[in-house]
Amino acid sequence: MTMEQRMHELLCAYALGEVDAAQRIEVERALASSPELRQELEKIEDTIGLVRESLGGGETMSAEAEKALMSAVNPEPRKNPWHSNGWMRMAAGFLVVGGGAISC
Amino acid sequence: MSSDSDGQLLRRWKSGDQTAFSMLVQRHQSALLRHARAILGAGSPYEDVVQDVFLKLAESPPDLPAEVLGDAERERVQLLSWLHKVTRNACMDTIRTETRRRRREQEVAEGEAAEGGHATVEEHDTRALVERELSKLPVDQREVVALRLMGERSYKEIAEITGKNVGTVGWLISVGLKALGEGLEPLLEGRKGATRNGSVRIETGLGLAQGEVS
Repeated sequence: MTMEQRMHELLCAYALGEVDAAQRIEVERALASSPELRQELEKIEDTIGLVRESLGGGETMSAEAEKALMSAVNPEPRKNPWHSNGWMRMAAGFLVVGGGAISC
Repeated sequence: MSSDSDGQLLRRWKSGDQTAFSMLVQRHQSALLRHARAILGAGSPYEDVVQDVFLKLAESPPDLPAEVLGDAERERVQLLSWLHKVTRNACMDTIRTETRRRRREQEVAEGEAAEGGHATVEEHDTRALVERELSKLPVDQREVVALRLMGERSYKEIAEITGKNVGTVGWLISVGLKALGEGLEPLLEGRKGATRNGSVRIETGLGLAQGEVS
Protein backbone atom coordinates (compact mmCIF):
# COMPACT_ATOMS: atom_id res chain seq x y z
CA MET A 1 0.00 0.00 0.00
CA THR A 2 1.39 3.40 -0.96
CA MET A 3 1.50 6.36 1.43
CA GLU A 4 -1.26 8.03 -0.58
CA GLN A 5 -3.50 4.96 -0.32
CA ARG A 6 -2.87 4.71 3.39
CA MET A 7 -3.68 8.38 3.90
CA HIS A 8 -6.86 8.04 1.82
CA GLU A 9 -7.91 5.11 3.97
CA LEU A 10 -7.20 7.14 7.11
CA LEU A 11 -9.15 10.12 5.77
CA CYS A 12 -12.14 7.88 5.02
CA ALA A 13 -11.98 6.42 8.52
CA TYR A 14 -11.66 9.95 9.93
CA ALA A 15 -14.67 11.17 7.97
CA LEU A 16 -16.67 8.21 9.21
CA GLY A 17 -15.60 8.56 12.84
CA GLU A 18 -13.62 5.32 12.76
CA VAL A 19 -10.19 6.53 13.89
CA ASP A 20 -8.62 6.07 17.30
CA ALA A 21 -7.03 8.93 19.22
CA ALA A 22 -3.56 8.45 17.74
CA GLN A 23 -4.89 8.26 14.19
CA ARG A 24 -6.99 11.36 14.77
CA ILE A 25 -3.90 13.31 15.80
CA GLU A 26 -1.99 11.98 12.78
CA VAL A 27 -4.78 12.95 10.38
CA GLU A 28 -5.32 16.39 11.87
CA ARG A 29 -1.61 17.16 11.75
CA ALA A 30 -1.46 16.09 8.13
CA LEU A 31 -4.57 18.13 7.29
CA ALA A 32 -3.16 21.22 8.96
CA SER A 33 -0.15 21.20 6.67
CA SER A 34 -1.69 20.08 3.40
CA PRO A 35 -4.35 21.89 1.37
CA GLU A 36 -4.44 18.87 -0.98
CA LEU A 37 -5.39 16.57 1.88
CA ARG A 38 -8.05 19.01 3.04
CA GLN A 39 -9.45 18.96 -0.46
CA GLU A 40 -9.33 15.16 -0.52
CA LEU A 41 -11.18 15.01 2.81
CA GLU A 42 -13.78 17.43 1.51
CA LYS A 43 -14.35 15.22 -1.51
CA ILE A 44 -14.72 12.13 0.68
CA GLU A 45 -17.23 13.93 2.90
CA ASP A 46 -19.16 15.20 -0.11
CA THR A 47 -19.26 11.70 -1.59
CA ILE A 48 -20.49 10.23 1.69
CA GLY A 49 -23.09 12.97 1.97
CA LEU A 50 -24.34 12.46 -1.57
CA VAL A 51 -24.61 8.68 -1.23
CA ARG A 52 -26.40 8.94 2.11
CA GLU A 53 -28.74 11.60 0.87
CA SER A 54 -29.57 9.71 -2.31
CA LEU A 55 -29.82 6.15 -1.05
CA GLY A 56 -30.18 6.39 2.70
CA GLY A 57 -33.94 6.75 2.91
CA GLY A 58 -36.01 4.28 4.88
CA GLU A 59 -37.06 1.75 2.29
CA THR A 60 -39.82 -0.64 3.27
CA MET A 61 -41.24 -3.81 1.82
CA SER A 62 -44.26 -3.48 -0.41
CA ALA A 63 -47.60 -3.91 1.33
CA GLU A 64 -48.15 -7.20 -0.55
CA ALA A 65 -44.77 -8.59 0.47
CA GLU A 66 -45.32 -7.67 4.09
CA LYS A 67 -48.81 -9.14 4.07
CA ALA A 68 -47.52 -12.37 2.51
CA LEU A 69 -44.78 -12.53 5.12
CA MET A 70 -47.12 -12.01 8.04
CA SER A 71 -49.53 -14.63 6.78
CA ALA A 72 -46.67 -17.10 6.24
CA VAL A 73 -45.28 -16.91 9.73
CA ASN A 74 -46.65 -19.30 12.26
CA PRO A 75 -47.61 -17.57 15.48
CA GLU A 76 -47.52 -20.84 17.43
CA PRO A 77 -45.41 -20.50 20.54
CA ARG A 78 -41.87 -21.77 19.98
CA LYS A 79 -41.57 -24.94 21.98
CA ASN A 80 -38.44 -25.68 23.87
CA PRO A 81 -37.20 -28.83 22.13
CA TRP A 82 -36.01 -30.28 25.46
CA HIS A 83 -39.48 -29.97 26.92
CA SER A 84 -40.99 -31.27 23.71
CA ASN A 85 -38.76 -34.31 23.93
CA GLY A 86 -39.76 -34.75 27.55
CA TRP A 87 -43.44 -34.82 26.65
CA MET A 88 -42.69 -37.17 23.79
CA ARG A 89 -40.82 -39.47 26.15
CA MET A 90 -43.64 -39.33 28.68
CA ALA A 91 -46.20 -40.12 25.99
CA ALA A 92 -44.05 -43.00 24.77
CA GLY A 93 -43.82 -44.29 28.36
CA PHE A 94 -47.61 -44.26 28.70
CA LEU A 95 -47.90 -46.15 25.43
CA VAL A 96 -45.44 -48.80 26.59
CA VAL A 97 -47.12 -49.16 29.98
CA GLY A 98 -50.58 -49.04 28.46
CA GLY A 99 -49.58 -51.52 25.76
CA GLY A 100 -48.13 -53.86 28.37
CA ALA A 101 -51.28 -53.70 30.49
CA ILE A 102 -53.48 -54.48 27.48
CA SER A 103 -51.34 -57.44 26.43
CA CYS A 104 -51.56 -58.85 30.00
CA MET B 1 -43.41 1.90 17.50
CA SER B 2 -42.95 -0.29 20.55
CA SER B 3 -40.34 0.74 23.06
CA ASP B 4 -39.68 -2.91 23.81
CA SER B 5 -36.10 -3.93 23.17
CA ASP B 6 -35.28 -6.44 20.46
CA GLY B 7 -34.65 -9.04 23.14
CA GLN B 8 -38.10 -8.45 24.62
CA LEU B 9 -39.74 -8.61 21.20
CA LEU B 10 -37.94 -11.86 20.43
CA ARG B 11 -39.14 -13.36 23.70
CA ARG B 12 -42.69 -12.22 22.97
CA TRP B 13 -42.52 -13.75 19.48
CA LYS B 14 -41.23 -17.01 20.89
CA SER B 15 -44.30 -17.03 23.13
CA GLY B 16 -46.53 -16.70 20.08
CA ASP B 17 -47.10 -12.93 19.96
CA GLN B 18 -47.34 -12.07 16.26
CA THR B 19 -47.46 -8.34 16.98
CA ALA B 20 -43.96 -8.58 18.40
CA PHE B 21 -42.75 -10.23 15.21
CA SER B 22 -44.40 -7.52 13.13
CA MET B 23 -42.60 -4.89 15.22
CA LEU B 24 -39.27 -6.57 14.57
CA VAL B 25 -40.02 -6.51 10.84
CA GLN B 26 -40.94 -2.81 10.99
CA ARG B 27 -37.84 -2.01 12.97
CA HIS B 28 -35.25 -3.77 10.83
CA GLN B 29 -36.62 -4.09 7.32
CA SER B 30 -35.06 -0.89 5.97
CA ALA B 31 -31.55 -1.88 6.95
CA LEU B 32 -31.93 -5.34 5.45
CA LEU B 33 -33.52 -4.06 2.25
CA ARG B 34 -30.63 -1.65 1.76
CA HIS B 35 -28.12 -4.41 2.44
CA ALA B 36 -29.74 -6.87 0.02
CA ARG B 37 -30.22 -4.19 -2.59
CA ALA B 38 -26.56 -3.19 -2.32
CA ILE B 39 -25.45 -6.75 -2.98
CA LEU B 40 -27.99 -7.81 -5.58
CA GLY B 41 -28.81 -4.51 -7.26
CA ALA B 42 -31.90 -2.38 -7.57
CA GLY B 43 -33.60 -4.46 -10.26
CA SER B 44 -33.13 -7.74 -8.44
CA PRO B 45 -35.59 -9.69 -6.29
CA TYR B 46 -33.88 -8.35 -3.17
CA GLU B 47 -37.22 -7.87 -1.44
CA ASP B 48 -37.85 -11.62 -1.72
CA VAL B 49 -34.52 -12.26 -0.06
CA VAL B 50 -35.45 -10.02 2.86
CA GLN B 51 -38.81 -11.75 3.13
CA ASP B 52 -36.97 -15.08 3.42
CA VAL B 53 -34.69 -13.63 6.07
CA PHE B 54 -37.68 -12.64 8.18
CA LEU B 55 -39.22 -16.06 7.63
CA LYS B 56 -36.04 -17.56 8.97
CA LEU B 57 -36.22 -15.19 11.93
CA ALA B 58 -39.79 -16.36 12.53
CA GLU B 59 -38.96 -20.03 12.26
CA SER B 60 -35.62 -20.08 14.06
CA PRO B 61 -35.27 -16.92 16.12
CA PRO B 62 -31.76 -16.60 17.51
CA ASP B 63 -30.99 -16.78 21.20
CA LEU B 64 -29.24 -13.56 22.15
CA PRO B 65 -26.17 -14.08 24.33
CA ALA B 66 -26.88 -13.74 28.04
CA GLU B 67 -24.36 -10.93 28.41
CA VAL B 68 -26.32 -8.58 26.15
CA LEU B 69 -29.76 -9.25 27.62
CA GLY B 70 -31.22 -6.22 29.36
CA ASP B 71 -29.10 -3.79 27.35
CA ALA B 72 -31.36 -2.61 24.54
CA GLU B 73 -28.56 -1.24 22.36
CA ARG B 74 -26.44 -4.38 22.62
CA GLU B 75 -29.50 -6.53 21.96
CA ARG B 76 -30.19 -4.45 18.84
CA VAL B 77 -26.61 -4.74 17.60
CA GLN B 78 -26.61 -8.48 18.24
CA LEU B 79 -29.90 -9.12 16.45
CA LEU B 80 -28.97 -6.81 13.56
CA SER B 81 -25.67 -8.61 13.17
CA TRP B 82 -27.55 -11.93 12.95
CA LEU B 83 -30.06 -10.51 10.49
CA HIS B 84 -27.34 -8.98 8.30
CA LYS B 85 -25.40 -12.25 8.24
CA VAL B 86 -28.50 -14.18 7.19
CA THR B 87 -29.25 -11.53 4.57
CA ARG B 88 -25.72 -11.73 3.25
CA ASN B 89 -25.80 -15.52 3.02
CA ALA B 90 -29.17 -15.43 1.28
CA CYS B 91 -27.87 -12.88 -1.22
CA MET B 92 -24.78 -14.95 -1.91
CA ASP B 93 -26.97 -18.01 -2.46
CA THR B 94 -29.05 -15.99 -4.89
CA ILE B 95 -25.96 -14.91 -6.78
CA ARG B 96 -24.52 -18.41 -6.83
CA THR B 97 -27.61 -20.27 -7.87
CA GLU B 98 -29.08 -17.86 -10.35
CA THR B 99 -26.09 -15.80 -11.49
CA ARG B 100 -28.52 -12.94 -11.99
CA ARG B 101 -26.07 -10.26 -11.17
CA ARG B 102 -23.49 -11.51 -13.62
CA ARG B 103 -26.05 -11.61 -16.39
CA ARG B 104 -27.34 -8.16 -15.50
CA GLU B 105 -23.84 -6.67 -15.40
CA GLN B 106 -23.14 -8.21 -18.77
CA GLU B 107 -26.35 -6.77 -20.14
CA VAL B 108 -25.60 -3.34 -18.68
CA ALA B 109 -22.05 -3.42 -20.02
CA GLU B 110 -23.28 -4.43 -23.45
CA GLY B 111 -26.00 -1.78 -23.32
CA GLU B 112 -23.59 0.94 -22.30
CA ALA B 113 -21.06 -0.07 -24.92
CA ALA B 114 -23.75 -0.03 -27.60
CA GLU B 115 -25.13 3.31 -26.52
CA GLY B 116 -21.85 5.07 -25.83
CA GLY B 117 -22.14 4.93 -22.06
CA HIS B 118 -24.73 6.67 -20.05
CA ALA B 119 -27.94 6.61 -22.01
CA THR B 120 -29.68 3.88 -19.97
CA VAL B 121 -29.67 5.96 -16.83
CA GLU B 122 -32.37 8.44 -15.92
CA GLU B 123 -30.36 11.56 -16.47
CA HIS B 124 -32.46 13.70 -14.19
CA ASP B 125 -32.40 11.37 -11.26
CA THR B 126 -29.57 11.85 -8.80
CA ARG B 127 -30.57 8.69 -7.01
CA ALA B 128 -30.26 6.69 -10.22
CA LEU B 129 -26.85 8.16 -10.91
CA VAL B 130 -25.58 7.34 -7.43
CA GLU B 131 -27.13 3.89 -7.59
CA ARG B 132 -25.47 3.25 -10.92
CA GLU B 133 -22.06 4.25 -9.63
CA LEU B 134 -22.55 2.08 -6.57
CA SER B 135 -23.54 -0.86 -8.75
CA LYS B 136 -20.27 -0.55 -10.66
CA LEU B 137 -18.26 -1.39 -7.56
CA PRO B 138 -17.25 -5.00 -6.97
CA VAL B 139 -19.73 -6.68 -4.66
CA ASP B 140 -17.42 -6.75 -1.62
CA GLN B 141 -16.82 -3.00 -1.84
CA ARG B 142 -20.46 -2.25 -2.56
CA GLU B 143 -21.64 -4.25 0.41
CA VAL B 144 -19.33 -2.66 2.99
CA VAL B 145 -19.96 0.85 1.65
CA ALA B 146 -23.72 0.28 1.89
CA LEU B 147 -23.48 -1.19 5.38
CA ARG B 148 -21.38 1.74 6.61
CA LEU B 149 -23.04 4.64 4.82
CA MET B 150 -26.68 3.61 4.71
CA GLY B 151 -26.78 0.92 7.37
CA GLU B 152 -24.71 2.95 9.85
CA ARG B 153 -22.86 -0.18 10.93
CA SER B 154 -19.40 0.37 12.37
CA TYR B 155 -16.28 -1.12 10.77
CA LYS B 156 -16.21 -3.63 13.61
CA GLU B 157 -19.83 -4.65 13.08
CA ILE B 158 -19.28 -4.92 9.33
CA ALA B 159 -16.28 -7.15 9.96
CA GLU B 160 -18.49 -9.35 12.13
CA ILE B 161 -21.25 -9.47 9.51
CA THR B 162 -19.01 -10.16 6.53
CA GLY B 163 -16.40 -12.35 8.19
CA LYS B 164 -13.63 -9.99 7.09
CA ASN B 165 -11.15 -8.33 9.40
CA VAL B 166 -11.57 -4.67 10.35
CA GLY B 167 -8.52 -3.63 8.31
CA THR B 168 -9.94 -5.21 5.18
CA VAL B 169 -13.27 -3.47 5.79
CA GLY B 170 -11.50 -0.10 6.08
CA TRP B 171 -9.53 -0.76 2.92
CA LEU B 172 -12.60 -1.84 0.94
CA ILE B 173 -14.52 1.25 2.06
CA SER B 174 -11.59 3.47 1.14
CA VAL B 175 -11.26 1.97 -2.34
CA GLY B 176 -15.03 2.03 -2.83
CA LEU B 177 -15.35 5.66 -1.77
CA LYS B 178 -12.50 6.65 -4.05
CA ALA B 179 -14.19 5.03 -7.04
CA LEU B 180 -17.54 6.56 -6.08
CA GLY B 181 -15.94 9.99 -5.70
CA GLU B 182 -14.46 9.72 -9.16
CA GLY B 183 -17.64 8.42 -10.75
CA LEU B 184 -19.77 11.05 -9.08
CA GLU B 185 -17.34 13.90 -9.62
CA PRO B 186 -19.53 15.79 -12.15
CA LEU B 187 -22.46 15.58 -9.77
CA LEU B 188 -20.37 16.64 -6.77
CA GLU B 189 -18.98 19.58 -8.70
CA GLY B 190 -22.49 20.54 -9.76
CA ARG B 191 -23.68 20.47 -6.16
CA LYS B 192 -20.82 22.71 -5.12
CA GLY B 193 -21.87 25.14 -7.81
CA ALA B 194 -25.43 24.91 -6.57
CA THR B 195 -24.31 25.62 -3.03
CA ARG B 196 -22.49 28.70 -4.20
CA ASN B 197 -25.32 29.96 -6.39
CA GLY B 198 -28.41 28.94 -4.48
CA SER B 199 -30.07 27.07 -7.31
CA VAL B 200 -28.37 26.12 -10.52
CA ARG B 201 -28.51 23.56 -13.24
CA ILE B 202 -26.13 20.75 -12.43
CA GLU B 203 -23.72 19.75 -15.16
CA THR B 204 -23.46 15.99 -14.81
CA GLY B 205 -21.66 15.23 -18.03
CA LEU B 206 -24.66 13.05 -18.79
CA GLY B 207 -27.02 15.86 -19.57
CA LEU B 208 -28.49 18.42 -17.24
CA ALA B 209 -30.15 17.72 -13.94
CA GLN B 210 -32.07 20.38 -12.09
CA GLY B 211 -30.71 20.99 -8.60
CA GLU B 212 -32.41 22.87 -5.81
CA VAL B 213 -30.50 23.80 -2.72
CA SER B 214 -32.31 23.63 0.54
